Amino acid sequence: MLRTIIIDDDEIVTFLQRKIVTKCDLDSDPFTFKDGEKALEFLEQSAEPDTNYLIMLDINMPKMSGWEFLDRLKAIPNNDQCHVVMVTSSIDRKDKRDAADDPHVVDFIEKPVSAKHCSKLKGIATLSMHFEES
Amino acid sequence: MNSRDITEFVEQERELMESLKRYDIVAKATSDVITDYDIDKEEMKVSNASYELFGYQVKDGIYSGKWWNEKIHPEDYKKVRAAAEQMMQNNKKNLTIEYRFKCADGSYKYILDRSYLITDENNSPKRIIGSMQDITDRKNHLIAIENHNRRLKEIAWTQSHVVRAPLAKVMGLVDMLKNYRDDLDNIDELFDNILISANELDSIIRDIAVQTEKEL
Repeated sequence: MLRTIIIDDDEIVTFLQRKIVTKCDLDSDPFTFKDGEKALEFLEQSAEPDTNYLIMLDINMPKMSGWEFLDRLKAIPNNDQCHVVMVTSSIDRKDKRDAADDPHVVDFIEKPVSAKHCSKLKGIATLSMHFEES
Repeated sequence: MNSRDITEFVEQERELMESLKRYDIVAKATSDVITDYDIDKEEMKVSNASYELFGYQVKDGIYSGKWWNEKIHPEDYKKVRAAAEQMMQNNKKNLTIEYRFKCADGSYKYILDRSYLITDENNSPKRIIGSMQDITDRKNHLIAIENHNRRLKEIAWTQSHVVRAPLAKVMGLVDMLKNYRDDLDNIDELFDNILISANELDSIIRDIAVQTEKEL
């Protein structure tokens, strides 16, 4: 099973991404968090052992940046069940390179997240099995 | 010596005096330092303007080449040395070069140096005549402009990232309205969010205008 987690400090962005994720059948009720700390807490305490998580992670956030979240994620048990999509307003070439080097990052997309992005995510090797099943 | 020789001699001397006088007048008229370097003696003779420009003064205005060269900024010295060597070895007549030169008070001035190489009948280099122009003001101005441009570039770069955040929201919201209109339970909420994002974009752009104005 694959569940989607949206992490972004902007409420309009989470609203939008929730809608898109629902409309594209990625997840009928995605989890949303306003900061990385809360999302880490959730993953530590409430993550289901047989569930994989697709994390849509904003890079620029005031409390904890997306990069910091990625670092902290490494310390969480079963972090190999987490697949991160970095989401940013404006692509920086350096950011893209750094993201490519991180084993958790499966994709890097520029906002706004669209239906096209979502269907592309479904095709990514590490995620596609979850969609073939259903 | 016959009378013709004497006339010629007097005439030559008159021409020489005129030419020296002209040199003195030009040396006085220009604020540039006029330099005359004797390659064999390694001696640098400079015009009186050197006192006003750099604050150095010696009798006859003659300095050792070594002492004079030590006043060139260490970061520029290699470049100047290489250009001068090349000039003498290849009998290159003209050299125009910029460097920093140390004043008596320890500060540096930007100098535009234009030199001309004089050779003897065997074509071996003998003297280098030149002028040193103080371009400090012009140079500082240029540096200020370059720094300014860099700052503006930074603002533009940062802002393009900041501007895109609310714009991306507007794009996403409009896209949603367009593609899922019949399938949305609260269209008003979408319109509200478009307006909020547009206002956010507006205030960011106003901030950029203020910040840019401050920089200028």
